[in-house]
Amino acid sequence: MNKVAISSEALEQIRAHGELSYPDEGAGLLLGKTGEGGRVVLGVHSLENRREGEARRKRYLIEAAQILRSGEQAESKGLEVVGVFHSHPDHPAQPSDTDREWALPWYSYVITSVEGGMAQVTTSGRLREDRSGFEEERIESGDGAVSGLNPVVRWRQGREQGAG
Amino acid sequence: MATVVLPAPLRPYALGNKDVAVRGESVREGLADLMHQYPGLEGHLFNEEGELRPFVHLFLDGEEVTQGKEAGVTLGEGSRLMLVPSIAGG
Repeated sequence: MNKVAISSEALEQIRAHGELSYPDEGAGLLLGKTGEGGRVVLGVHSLENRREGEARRKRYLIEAAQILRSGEQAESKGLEVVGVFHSHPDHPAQPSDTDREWALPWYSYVITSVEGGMAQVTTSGRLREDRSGFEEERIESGDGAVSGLNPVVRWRQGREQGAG
Repeated sequence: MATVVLPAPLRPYALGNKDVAVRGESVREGLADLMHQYPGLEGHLFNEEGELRPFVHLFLDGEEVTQGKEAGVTLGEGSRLMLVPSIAGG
């Protein structure tokens, strides 16, 4: 199983952004490095969900221009965009068909379930080569302060959060 | 020749290269040459109908190319065509 190391600070920011965005989906980019030793997330860019109206409750959009700017800022700090995080309000932290359709290979996709405004489970995965789904990856956090947030989650593919 | 700049997720399909030199007089032709050099990119950039996937955005020398209009945009010598994904889900 792939693994991704996420700094405690970054993980807290990911979960906090989900809570702040509730009942809408919150999203952003993971910044870090990928090398022989694996992937490490050292920071995040929390971004505005560009979906409009009620769609923000079940869908998120980060526009290309936002990604371009984040990539340039990350590069100036010696980092790169290594993935995406978003939240599922009142829904499990499992990728949907929509997540799969829009996913890119190589990126880590971190999802946090937010129940009643409180962050619950955080999971991560990468798109399979054939785009059929995601391979779960284990989250390792630096200081163990987030024990219990690395559950063994069996993803059930094809589960939609909502229509559209 | 022009240069296509690939985002990190697609570089493994281009032997790890970020910049790829391409031939073609239009953006569409440049993309076709990119697919010819690295066929593994095709499934991630184009759908079964041969259309660019909706999350693929093209920036030619800093200006965004409207999706569907690639064939009519000239790819000049020394141009940089950056592929930038929008990211969505839910």
